[in-house]
This record gives sequence, structure tokens and C-alpha cells, in this order.
Amino acid sequence: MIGPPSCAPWDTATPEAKGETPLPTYNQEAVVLRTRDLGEADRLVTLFTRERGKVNGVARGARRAASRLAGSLQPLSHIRCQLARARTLDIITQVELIESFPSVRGDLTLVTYANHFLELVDVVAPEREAGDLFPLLLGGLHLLAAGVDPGLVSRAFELRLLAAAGFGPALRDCARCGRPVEERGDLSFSPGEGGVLCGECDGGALLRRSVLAALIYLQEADLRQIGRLAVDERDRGEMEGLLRAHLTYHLDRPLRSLAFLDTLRRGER
Amino acid sequence: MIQELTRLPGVGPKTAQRLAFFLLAQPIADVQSLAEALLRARQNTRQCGVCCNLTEEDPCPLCSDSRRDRDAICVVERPADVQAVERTRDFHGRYHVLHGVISPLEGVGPEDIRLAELLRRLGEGTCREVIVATNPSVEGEATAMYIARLVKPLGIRVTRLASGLPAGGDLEYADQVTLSRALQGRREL
Ligand SMILES: [Zn+2]
Ligand SMILES: [Zn+2]
Repeated sequence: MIGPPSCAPWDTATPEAKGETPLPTYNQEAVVLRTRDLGEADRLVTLFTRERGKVNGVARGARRAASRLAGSLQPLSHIRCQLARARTLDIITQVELIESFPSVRGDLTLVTYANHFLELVDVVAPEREAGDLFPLLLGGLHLLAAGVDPGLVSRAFELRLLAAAGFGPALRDCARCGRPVEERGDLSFSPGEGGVLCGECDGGALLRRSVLAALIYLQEADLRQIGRLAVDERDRGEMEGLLRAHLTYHLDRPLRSLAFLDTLRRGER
Repeated sequence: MIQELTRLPGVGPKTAQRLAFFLLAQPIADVQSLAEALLRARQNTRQCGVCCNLTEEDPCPLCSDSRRDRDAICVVERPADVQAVERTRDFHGRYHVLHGVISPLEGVGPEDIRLAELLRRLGEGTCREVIVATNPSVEGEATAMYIARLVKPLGIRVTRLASGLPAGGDLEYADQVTLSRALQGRREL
């Protein structure tokens, strides 16, 4: 298909210019989850919007070098945009960048953590409703950008995302018998049973109390305070391992960004 | 035939129909030579054993051209990008085609692109600069950073294409990301 010379895409393709009635438009605040090439010059953009959850939109001409849409419509960008309702896929007509998180994009490890957040949101985000997930995603990205320990941010993010999706691990009460786990006995953790198990109800992997305390803090504290938590390497590794097991069990799919993070760590050693 | 043609990139049903009618109106001999050319090109095309670019001869003409510098390798995502850089006539080194970018979200890891081949080439010791010319997208940047991580310890200089305003463009219409990158990458006059 031979198109007009490239310039701002909405200038070339507005319905008005073609003598059609303009499409109804709506505005959304969103984070770009992912993009995919569509046709010769367009891009299919998956947005996570504050009000409607996951929305797919087409950015026409976004792959041309001169496109005004391309720069802002990249994964991770926090944007305000206007979409035009079309028969099949809505069309992204205008984009205003709120935050592009350059400090996250410019660091391979941080951008991988951020990808992990986007990946999880993409998996659990319902279409047509965002609930608590939108502020959680933005909060997580801002903490990464602010230089807060990405491992802790990630664990807090995972715990809260699981809770929002209805798979939050039980931490204060035994997942099997429901009794508070504060009493004595060896605790364990079982993704299949839905969280921590008390001393009477064994099964699952042994869970040390210091790890449980850190998990409770990461799940319940104000997100802005989580960087203040002090955890040693061993507890940190155990938290990561059991949350990964919990995520994999309940989301039932491989976590690709975490796998890439492992690759990066192996390279560092 | 129309259905087959719509599988080509950028060809919608209307264009496919136009192409089909055009082909049907041509002499049989012309259509046959086109069909044979397509088949021959596909059968004879493979990846160059050195740079991984698509080629009919191995090593490819660029790799076997002794006039090209051996001390710089320009790393690109796809074969079409080699053509794009070649058109500038400003680069006289060699190329390396990754055939993709690292994209954890799409399940593309470092082992899925031609990185091992690049490292093997660098091990030969003639290259002194790797110019990473992946796209200025999130994945392209992440891939560039990953390459820098692998290559810098070898004592080889790693550079990245500058990104800035499109030539002939209008500042007023530049998007914020492009403009702020252009500002960061500003140079002395
Ligand atoms: Zn119990
Ligand atoms: Zn070659």
C-alpha cells in the first residue's frame, strides 16, 4: 500500500479529511504495557488505563521515524491519551507523555524489574476495570525510578498484585486451619494451600519467622516505606523463591522477566 | 493467489487484488521468470557464517570485501538495517545481524538472537569498536545495554548510535522523548 508522505499520523488519516463523520473520542490516563508491529507502519499498543483496565489501540504510522506518537508509546511510558472509538480496534489519536522513567530505562536490571511488573499486570489485569492495580503499577515504577531497592519493591509489588487478583498468600492465619500463626511451632509455606501453614498443619517448605515478618511488612506497610526494611541475603533469597513459587502456581505461566533477571545475575558473577 | 499475497507485509486485500490482476494480465513467460526468481532467491538464501546477514554466498559480499575495515562492527537488529546503514555510505566497517532483540515480555532471551556468534567474532581480536545500532525502543535499548555488558570486559569500545531530531523536522512537532534525548545527546559547536 502506498501511503501519503509520512508526517503526523492523525493529519494523514483523520476521518474529517476523508469526508466521514468524526469518530467519538475518549481520554485515558495509562501506562503502556506492550506494543506490536501491525501492518507496514502501524503499531498495536496495549495500554493499561486507570479507568478501563487493559485497552488495545492502534497507533497509525507509529513506526515511521517522524511519527510523533512513537516516542511516547513505548512500554513503561505513563501517558495521557485520546482514543477514537472505531469498529474493531480503537485508534490512538493523541498522546501526552507524563513520565517516561528514563532512569529505569537506562539501567538493564531496573528495566527488567519494570518489565516484570508490566508482565504481571498484563497477566492479571482484567479488561474494563483497573481497580487498585493502576496506582500499584505506577507506585512500583516510581519506587524503581527513585532508586529504592528493586528486590524489595518487586516483592511488595508481587504480594499486592496477588492480593488484588485474589491470590494473595495468607500470612497471618494458617491457610489450612485458619488459626493465627503467632503461636509456637515450625511454620511452612505452600502455594497450593494458599500461604503459610501453622505448626499443627505441616506440609510445604519450611518458613522461617524472620521471612514471614518481612513478608507481612512488605504486604502491609505504606508502599513508600518499604525501602526501610532491613533483610539479610538469606531471607531475601527465600522470599523471592517462595513468592516466585506462589506466582507460578496461581498464574500458571512462566515468568519471563524473572528468568531474564536470573540470566543477568549469572553474568554478574 | 489473493489470499497468498495478503500474507506479505503491508499488503492488504485491496493491494493484493490489484497485484493479482496485474500478474494475471502479464505474459506467462514473465510470470514464470518472477516465480522462478522468488523460488531461487529463497532456496539459495542463508545466513552468512560470519555476520549472520542473509546472503546467497557464504561469507557474504560485505564480509569478503577486503577493503572494509576489520576494526569496527556495526550491530543491527535485521538485515534491512544493514541496507539502511549502507545507504549512508558513512560506515566502512563490518556488520553483525542479531535477527531480533532481547524481549523478556515476548520470551526472546539473549540465547535466541545471534549474540554468541558476535562474541565468537570478537574473540578473534581484530575488532576494536562495536557500534550498537539497534532501534531506540525499550527492547533495542535493553539489548544495547546487554551487549555493552558482555563486550566491555573484552576491552573493546562499545558505542551507541546517537538519537535525536529527524533531519528536516520541526522542533515544535518533536515528541517529548525524542526532544529530551536530543538534548541529552547535544554536542559542542
Ligand atoms: Zn493450621
Ligand atoms: Zn557476512
